[in-house]
Amino acid sequence: MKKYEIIILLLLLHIHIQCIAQLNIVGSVISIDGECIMGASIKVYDAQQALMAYAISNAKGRYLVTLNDTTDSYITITCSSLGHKNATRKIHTDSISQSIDFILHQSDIEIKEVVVKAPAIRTIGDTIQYNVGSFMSSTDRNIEDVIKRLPGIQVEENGQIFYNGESINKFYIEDLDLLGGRYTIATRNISPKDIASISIYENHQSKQVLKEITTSDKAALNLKLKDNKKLKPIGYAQIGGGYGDEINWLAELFGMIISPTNQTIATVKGNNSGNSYIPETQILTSTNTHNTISEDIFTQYPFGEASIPDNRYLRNQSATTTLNTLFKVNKNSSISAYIDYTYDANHYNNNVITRYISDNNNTIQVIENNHSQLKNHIANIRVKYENNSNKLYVLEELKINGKINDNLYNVANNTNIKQSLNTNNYNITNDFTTIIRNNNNLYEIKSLVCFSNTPRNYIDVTNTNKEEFVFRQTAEGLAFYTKESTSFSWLLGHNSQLGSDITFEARYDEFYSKHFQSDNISNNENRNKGYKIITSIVPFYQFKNEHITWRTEIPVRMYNIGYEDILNSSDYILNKPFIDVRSSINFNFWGHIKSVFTIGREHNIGDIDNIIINPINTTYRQQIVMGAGIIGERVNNYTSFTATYRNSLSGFFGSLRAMYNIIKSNTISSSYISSQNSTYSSINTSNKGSNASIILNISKNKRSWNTTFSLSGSAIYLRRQTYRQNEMLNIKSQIYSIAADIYSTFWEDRISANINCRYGTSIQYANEMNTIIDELTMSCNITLSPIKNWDIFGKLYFNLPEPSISTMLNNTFIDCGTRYKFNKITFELTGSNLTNKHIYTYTQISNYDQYIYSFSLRPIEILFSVRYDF
Amino acid sequence: MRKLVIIAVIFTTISSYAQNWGNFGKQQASITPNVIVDNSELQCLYQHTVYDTILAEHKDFYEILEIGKYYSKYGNYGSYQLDSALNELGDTPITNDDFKILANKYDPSWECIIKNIQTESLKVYGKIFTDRYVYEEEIENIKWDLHKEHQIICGYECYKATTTFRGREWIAWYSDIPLSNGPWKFGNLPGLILKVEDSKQEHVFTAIMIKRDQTDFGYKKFQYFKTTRQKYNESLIEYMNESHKFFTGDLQPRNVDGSPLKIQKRKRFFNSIELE
Repeated sequence: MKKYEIIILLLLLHIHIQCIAQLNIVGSVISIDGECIMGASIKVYDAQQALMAYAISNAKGRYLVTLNDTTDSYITITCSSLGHKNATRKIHTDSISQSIDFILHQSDIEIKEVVVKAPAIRTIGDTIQYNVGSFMSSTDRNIEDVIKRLPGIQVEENGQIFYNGESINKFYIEDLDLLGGRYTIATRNISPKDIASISIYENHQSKQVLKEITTSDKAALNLKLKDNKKLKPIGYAQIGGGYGDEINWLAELFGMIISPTNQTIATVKGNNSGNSYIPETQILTSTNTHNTISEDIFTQYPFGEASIPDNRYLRNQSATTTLNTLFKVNKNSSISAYIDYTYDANHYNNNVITRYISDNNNTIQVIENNHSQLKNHIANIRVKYENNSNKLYVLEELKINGKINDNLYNVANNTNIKQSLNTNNYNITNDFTTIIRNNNNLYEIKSLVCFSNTPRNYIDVTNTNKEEFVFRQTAEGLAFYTKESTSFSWLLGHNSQLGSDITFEARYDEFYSKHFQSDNISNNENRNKGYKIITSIVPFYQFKNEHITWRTEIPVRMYNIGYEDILNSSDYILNKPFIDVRSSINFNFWGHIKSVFTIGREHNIGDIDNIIINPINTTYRQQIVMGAGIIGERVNNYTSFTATYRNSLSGFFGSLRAMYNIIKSNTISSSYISSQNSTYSSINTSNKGSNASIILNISKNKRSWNTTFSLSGSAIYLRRQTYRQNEMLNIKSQIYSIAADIYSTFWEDRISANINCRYGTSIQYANEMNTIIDELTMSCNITLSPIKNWDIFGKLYFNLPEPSISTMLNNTFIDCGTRYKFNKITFELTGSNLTNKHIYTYTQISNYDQYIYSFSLRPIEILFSVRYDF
Repeated sequence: MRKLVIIAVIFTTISSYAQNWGNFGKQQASITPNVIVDNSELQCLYQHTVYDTILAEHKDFYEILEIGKYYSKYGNYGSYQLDSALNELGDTPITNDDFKILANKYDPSWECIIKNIQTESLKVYGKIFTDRYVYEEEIENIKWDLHKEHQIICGYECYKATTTFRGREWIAWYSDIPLSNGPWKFGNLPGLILKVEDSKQEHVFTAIMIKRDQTDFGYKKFQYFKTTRQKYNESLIEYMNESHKFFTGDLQPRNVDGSPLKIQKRKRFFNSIELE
C-alpha cells in the first residue's frame, strides 16, 4: 500500500472512531396496538454489560440516547416499561444509523410488594435511636421491659440503666429532665405503647455551654412519645386482690401529661403483694448529697439480705405518692419540682449461720433465727430552676429529704434478744452553678451547701427471756458541707484549651455516741467534732481534635483538718498539701470504636470517723471501732482502659473495661471474734492492697431472627491485708462471673422467650486457708399469645448454690399467669411460687468468715387484678 | 306581652343556637372533594427525614408516591390514609365527630406535587399560614451521573446516581422498576428512585413500602392562589421562620380590652429543600 493510501486509511479510521465517540441513538417505543408508550426506560449496555447511557421516552414515545466514548463493536439496548414485557436488542455499533424502534407486548405488572419495617436501630452522629415498635412485645407491661431488651443496654434489679457497662448520667422525657434521676417512676409505669422511640446520647454533655469543649464518658437516655400521646393525660388505674397465707391487695394510679411547655407525672400506689416502692423514688444518677457519719452506722439489714428479689421473701405494706412537674419558661429555661412520700413496712424471717475463724484456726459458730420488722418513712422535695443555653448555664436547685426508720428485730440464739432501731435523718442541699461562655473563654462559679442532721439514732437491745433491758447504743450526728468553686479557661487556637479550677470545700461534723447498760453506767462514749477544709487548684490542659481528646490535670490540694475528741481532750490537726495527677486520652476510631485510657494518682485524706475510737454496738453482738485514732491517709495509684464499639446497622454493641489500682494506707482493718461478740476496728499500720478487674459486655441484635444475644463476663482480683485475732492476714480473692442472655420472639410475635444464665465463683486465699464458693442461676420467661389480646406467661427461676459440691440443694421458683385485654381494660391472674418453696438458702464468704443464709419465702400466692389504661 | 314575646324569641334563638353548636359534632361532615386526575396502580411510601439546622432536630415525615398512567402524585401519607378510610365508607355519611377522630388519627396535610407526564410539567399545591397556593413549572430534565455502586433498598437492587439540583448535591439510588419517577420532584433516571439524600443529609428520602392498589388520586378542590416557585418559596421560608408576623389585621389576636396581644417570636421546624 502506498504511503498516502495508508494515511487516508488512518484518517478515515480516526473519523470513524470519532463518530463512534459521539453516537446518538433515536427511536420510538410503541405498544402492539400502535399506541405511543411514554416514560419507557431505554438503557444502553456495553459489551461488559455496564450501563453506558439511558433515556426516557417522551409523550410521543420518542427517545434519544447519546453515547460517549465507546470502542465496543456492539452494544445492548433494553427497553422496559411498567405493564409491558422488556425488549432487548444487540446492535453492532456500525449499524446505528436508522431509528431503533421497540414494540412492547403487554404483560402483568411483576412488581413485588415490599414493606420495610422501620429500622430497629438508627444512628445519627452520637445518637442511637431504638425504634420501640421493633423491640416491643405485646406482653410488655412498662417501658422498662422494652429497655431491658435493647442491645447495648443493661437494667439492674433496682431499675438503674447502664449503656455499654456505664450508668447513664441523665434520663429525659422529650429531651427534658423532669425526674432528676428518679427515672424508675417513668420506666416502671409508662406503657411502651405510648413511646415511639428511645434514644441514647453517647458521651452526653448536658450543658450546652460546654458542648464541643468537654464530653462525658457516660450516656443519657431520652424517651420520645408518640405524637398522639402528647397534650392529653395518659396512664393507668389498677386494683387487685388475692390470697397467699393472708389477703393480698394492690391499688395503683399513674398519670402523665406531656406537652412542649409542661410535663407532669403523678403516682399514688399501695400494695402488700411484695413490691416495695423505694426504688421508684431513688436517685439513680449522680447526687450531691452529703450525709452525717452516723446515718448509716446501723444497717437496716443487720442479719442479712437475700440475693433474690425482695418480693420473694418480704411481707410488705407499701405505699407511695409522687408528684413531678416541669414548666418551660422559654426555649432554654425551665422550672421543675417534685415531692414524694414513701412508706414501707416489711417483715421477714431468716436464719444465719456464721462461722468465724478465731484463734488457731478454731471456728466459732453463731446461729441466729431472726424475725425482722422494718418501717420506713421517706419524703423528698426538690425545686429546680435551670437555664441551659449556648452561652449561659444557670442552675439553682434546692432539695430536702427526710427519713424515719422504726425497726424491730427478734433474734433467737442461745438467748432471745429483741433489738430495735430508731433513726431520724434530715438533709437539705442547695446547689448553684453558673457557667458563662464568652467567645473562646469559659467562666464557671459553683456553690454547693448541704446540711444534714441525725438527731435521733439508736438501737435498744432487750433480753426477752429475762425481760430485761441489756443496752441502748446511740449514734447521733450533724454535718455541714459547702463547696464553692470557680473555673476559667482559654481556648488556644482550634484544638487546645488551658485553664484552672479553683475549689474551696469545707465540712463540719459533730458526732456523739453513747452506750447505756442496764446498770446505768455509761461507757464507750464518743464525743467528737471538727472541720475539714480542702482548698484546691487544678490546672489543666486539654487537646481536642476530631479523633483524640487528651486532658491532663494536676490537682494541688491543701488540707486543713482539725478534729477534736472532746472526752479525751485530744486534737487531731493536719495542715498539709498533696499533689495528685490525672491524665486521660479519649480516642475515636473509625467504625465507631471509642476508647479511653486513664492514669492517675489520688490522695484521700481522713474524715472525722478516723478519730472515733470507742466501740459502738451495731447489733446486740457486733461492735465497730470506726477510727484508728489517727487521720487516715490513702493513696490510690490507678490506671484504666475502656473500649466501646457499636455498629447500630448490624445491632452489635460491645465494651471492654480493664482497671488496676494500688492502694496504700496508714490504717488497716482489724477484727476480733469471741463467742460473745465480734469487734471490727482499724489500727494504725501501713499496708498495701491492689485490685485488678476486667469486664466485658457484648450484645448483638439479629433482626432477621427477632433475637438479641447478650454476653457479659468479669474477672476481679483483689489483694489486701487485714488483722484477725491480732494476726496479719494476706487475703487474695478472685471473683469470676459469666452471664448470657437471649431474648427472642417468633411465630409472628406470638411467642416471646427470655433465657438468662449466670455462673459466678469466688475463690479466697487467706494465709493457709482457701475457700471456694460458686453459684449457678438460670431463669426463663416465656409468653404465649395464642389469640390477639390474650397472653399466657410463665417464669422459671433456678438457683444452685455451690454446684461444684452438690446439685441437691437448689432454689427453684415457678410463676405463671394469664392476661386478657378488652378495649382499654386488662384482666390479669398471676400465680407466684407455684412450687410453694418455703426456704431460700445461699452462702457468702467475707474475709475469713462464712455466712450461710436461709430466708423464709412468701408462699404460693394468687393475685387477680384489673387495669384500665387511659 | 310584646316584651315577653321578644324575650321568648331571643331565648329560643339562643337555645337553638346553643343546641346547634352542641350538635355540630353529630352533624354530617362536609368534606372538600378531590379533583381526580388519574388512577394509580403502584404506590411507594417514603420516609422523609429532615434536619432543621437551627433547631438542631431531626423529624420524620411519611410521604407517598402514587403513579398513574399519565400523572403521578407525591403527597402526605396521612392524607392518603384518610382518603382511603373515607373511600371505604363510600356513601355512608360521616359526622363531624367521626371525621375529627379520623383526622386526629392520620394527621393529614393536603400539600402535594402532581406531575403530568404527557406535558412534562408539574404543579405544586402548597399552603402558607391559612392560604393555599399553586404554582406550575416544567419537569426538570435532571442530568444524573451514573456510578457503579449498588445496594439493596426496600428489597430491590439499586444503583447510584448523583446530581446537583436546586442548590443541593444529591445522591440517588434507583431500582430496576421501569418508572422514571421518585420522591418530591426527582425523576429522569431509568428506574424508580428508592432513596435520595443530599450531601449534608438534611433531606433523606427512603422508600419503606411498595404496594399495588388501584386507587384514584388527585388534589383537594380548595381555592388556590396562583403564584410562582420563587415567590412561594420566599413566603414559605418567611412564614416558617417568623410566623408571628403573619398574625396581623383581622388575624391579630387581641386582649379583652381590644389591644393587640403580642405573639411570641417562634421558629417552626423547617429546612427549605430548594436553596435556589
